[in-house]
Amino acid sequence: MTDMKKATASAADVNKLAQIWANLPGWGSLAAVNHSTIGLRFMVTGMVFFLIGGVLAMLIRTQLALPEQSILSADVYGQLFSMHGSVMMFLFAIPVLEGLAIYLIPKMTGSRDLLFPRISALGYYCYLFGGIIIMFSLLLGIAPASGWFMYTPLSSSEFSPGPGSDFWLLGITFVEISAMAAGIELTVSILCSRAKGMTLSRMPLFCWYILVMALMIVFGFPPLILASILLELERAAGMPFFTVAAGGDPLLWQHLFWLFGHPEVYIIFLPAAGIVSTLIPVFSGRPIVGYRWVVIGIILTGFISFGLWVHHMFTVGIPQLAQAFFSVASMLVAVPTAIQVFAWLATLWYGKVVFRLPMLWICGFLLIFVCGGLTGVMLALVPFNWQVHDTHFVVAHMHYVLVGGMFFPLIAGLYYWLPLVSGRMPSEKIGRWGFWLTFSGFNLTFLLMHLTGLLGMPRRVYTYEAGLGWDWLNLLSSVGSFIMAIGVAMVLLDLLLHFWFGKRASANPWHADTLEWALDMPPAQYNFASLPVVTSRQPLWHDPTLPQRIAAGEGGMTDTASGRRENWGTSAVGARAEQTLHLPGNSWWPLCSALALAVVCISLLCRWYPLALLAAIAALILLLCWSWHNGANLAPVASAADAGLALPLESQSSDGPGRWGMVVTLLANGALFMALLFGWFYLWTAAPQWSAPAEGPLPVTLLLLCGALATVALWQFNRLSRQLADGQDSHLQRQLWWCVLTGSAHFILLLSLFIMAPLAYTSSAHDAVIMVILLYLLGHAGLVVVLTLLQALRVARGYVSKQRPYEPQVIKPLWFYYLGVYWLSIALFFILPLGWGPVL
Amino acid sequence: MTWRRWCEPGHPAQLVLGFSIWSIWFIAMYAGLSVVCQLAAPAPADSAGNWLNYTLWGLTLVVLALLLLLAWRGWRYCCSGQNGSGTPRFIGYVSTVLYLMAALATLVGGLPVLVLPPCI
Repeated sequence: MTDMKKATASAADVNKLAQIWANLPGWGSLAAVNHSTIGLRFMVTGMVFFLIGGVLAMLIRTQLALPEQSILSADVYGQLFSMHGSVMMFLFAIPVLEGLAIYLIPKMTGSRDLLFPRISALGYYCYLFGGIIIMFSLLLGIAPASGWFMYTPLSSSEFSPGPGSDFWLLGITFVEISAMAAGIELTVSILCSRAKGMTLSRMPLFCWYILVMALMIVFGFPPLILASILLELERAAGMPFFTVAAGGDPLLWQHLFWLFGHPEVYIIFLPAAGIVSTLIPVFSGRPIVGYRWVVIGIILTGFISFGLWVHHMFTVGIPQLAQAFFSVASMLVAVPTAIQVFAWLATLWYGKVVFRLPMLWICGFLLIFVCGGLTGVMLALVPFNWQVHDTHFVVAHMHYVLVGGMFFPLIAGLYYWLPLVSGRMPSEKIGRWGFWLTFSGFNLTFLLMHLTGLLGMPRRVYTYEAGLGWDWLNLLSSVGSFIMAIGVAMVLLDLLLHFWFGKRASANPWHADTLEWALDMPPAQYNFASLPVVTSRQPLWHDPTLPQRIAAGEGGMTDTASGRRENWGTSAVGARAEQTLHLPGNSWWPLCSALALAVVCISLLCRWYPLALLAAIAALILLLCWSWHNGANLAPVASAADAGLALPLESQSSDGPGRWGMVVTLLANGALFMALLFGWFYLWTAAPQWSAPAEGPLPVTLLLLCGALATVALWQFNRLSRQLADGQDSHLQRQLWWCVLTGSAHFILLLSLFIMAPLAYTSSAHDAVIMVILLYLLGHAGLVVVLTLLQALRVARGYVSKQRPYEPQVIKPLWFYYLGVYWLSIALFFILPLGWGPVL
Repeated sequence: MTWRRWCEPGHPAQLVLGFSIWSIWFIAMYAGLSVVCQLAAPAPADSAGNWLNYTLWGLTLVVLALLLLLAWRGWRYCCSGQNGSGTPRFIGYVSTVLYLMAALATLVGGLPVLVLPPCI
């Protein structure tokens, strides 16, 4: 009788939950922010871009199938291979994996959503609009043609005068907003909202992989964002960062690009390896061998992959000793990969393997990826690297690593999680045909390409003479690529058809161990009717009745009285429930903000600078309005969150996911600043014609005075936020206004110095860098003052008080960051060069 | 107080500390080498026996010793029975191996300093 009552109550709650978490109907679905919706949108859009990138690859292989063909001109071929690489790397590989992570992470960690769902939606729209802008260049026949890594000076205005490079630089930077958003959100969500009891040592390996990937995005993408901004400034405003004659250096681009580019390979590989580490134990019917060692391997990969970038530049003229450092580091990265491969093999060895469709793709992955890894070690050796540099050997290696290391596990993962999304099973028969065609076609294409490269065929040539020994190899490679294309088409057909013709899936059809399989198939928008409590690494193997108990409301957070989207906020290590989080619901802010940013991007491309300025201001206003409406509710209703245990709301505490989000964002910001610092010192020491004035461009005393004002403002803000955390809010608004006043004085003085500075930023790389750092400081100073001003206004409205002390705690790290960066900049950009004297 | 907690062997910060030290060492080696080669390159005739290589090797040994010390501390933490078998012990174990790996990466990465001239 008690059970019946519980089940009935649960049904009522479930209806209310469904109502609270529902997307808006019709066009209103564009305002959806739920992670399932956004994750699926990312994946579907990514697959569309994959098809476009695949068609480009087919055109490339058609052109190269026979010698001396003229199906494509040199220029069109240049556009196609540049776009093929860019589309596959930036518009397919990363977004589709982010989409998978966005879709799966809350389900795997026992949550109802990611913690910043509106940021997910913003990220998606930035990705979509950025991708469309880039693809438009192809339709117009003005796509970038300098390769997917856009080396200067080839991509500079002298050698690429058209708008192709601009499309790449602005479009990719726009898309990178999406990657950064996902990186920050996934990091904080994994750390701050796991199921109760899901400690770090019980976290599914997939979450470890995504956590490290997300942090790698946070640190890895800023160098490319900076490089893209600098190159666009050079092209549009003539600031000569990469021009030798004015004191710049084209090699700076290569450094910044590969500072991003090599970690990028592992950013793509790690989620794919996460899929492998999830699937192998399931199909082996036993836990993974060496869980701790796999975690060690993941963290190792995350770090070492940042120390390899120069192996892409072994031929540019670097001292032997420096080459040796990077050669050793490049070989070292094989160690964590090997740890994971051995853990997978040991799990297969000790388990009873069931070779269902996903396992076929995993086996293909193991074979291809290990081969790609071995050629990677070969390329880490400097003499060999010199021999095959810029040949088809490198192209073959890259595809073995990326297709083997990412595409095969991705398809395995899609087949594996398909029943969860659709409630239906794929066709084993079509799927197996698809696999064998893809596998054999891939190897025919790229195994032979190693030989083509060893025989000396350079990459990026649009045709070649007959009789060089490359003819039959190229022909077979092209045949293989078409076989592979047929295989991929069969896979996609299978994925599509199964929605109509697939057999109904039984509950947990693969007998998996992770929490997503405790959900309905397809899952409800709120995921869990009641939030689960986890007591082991394999919750569903440990307690097969868990899905029923969750559905019956035996977990936590079943009360829907608040009418808000709620989730637990848990501690990062021990996963103890500490807070009730009110997650934001459907919203038009992300779409409107992304549209405004798209207008900025398009008007910059068209050189309509007044419109760009207006759109940028509109975007800023929209984002600030969003932040205002996303803040604490004036009259929040706390649910009986945890079986009688009342947990405080995030807004009622001094710490929470918003603060974590700010800190992770500042880590990314810091990575961008460090990249700029690297560029400054690199140009100083390595640019052949670097020149700096004998005296600094700005009076140091005024800079010190300016810094003193910022220090006072920070001291004021720090004091008031501490008082607030201690439960005192006397004169809070007055203190905030004082802080705004001091900060504004700092901003105005800095702006005056900037306006008065005699910077020859179009003829000197030195002055151009100084201009960028001043703009960086001004932007941050303005932002921190505006945010403090908003806090003062929010105190007046009652959003911030001793009962709601949270928001100033979120802004405080930004103040500290800004002050740290300000003083560091003054020391390294303005004072240190004085000590060095003029360098001519 | 927070910093003291961060330094404890069972704290999650230990998971990233070892390779953060390695990263700083790596940057110092590469940046130091590049800057010195531009500003005050040792004579090529000295081959690997010059003040710059000695300095870089000294830095390598100091970092190596620090990482090994931290690994030893982590190992002692794991071996002491007082830390149970939960997450702190897991963190202690993982970070100990990561310290050892970081030490190995430092040693292997620093060895070329003994044989190669710096600025050629």
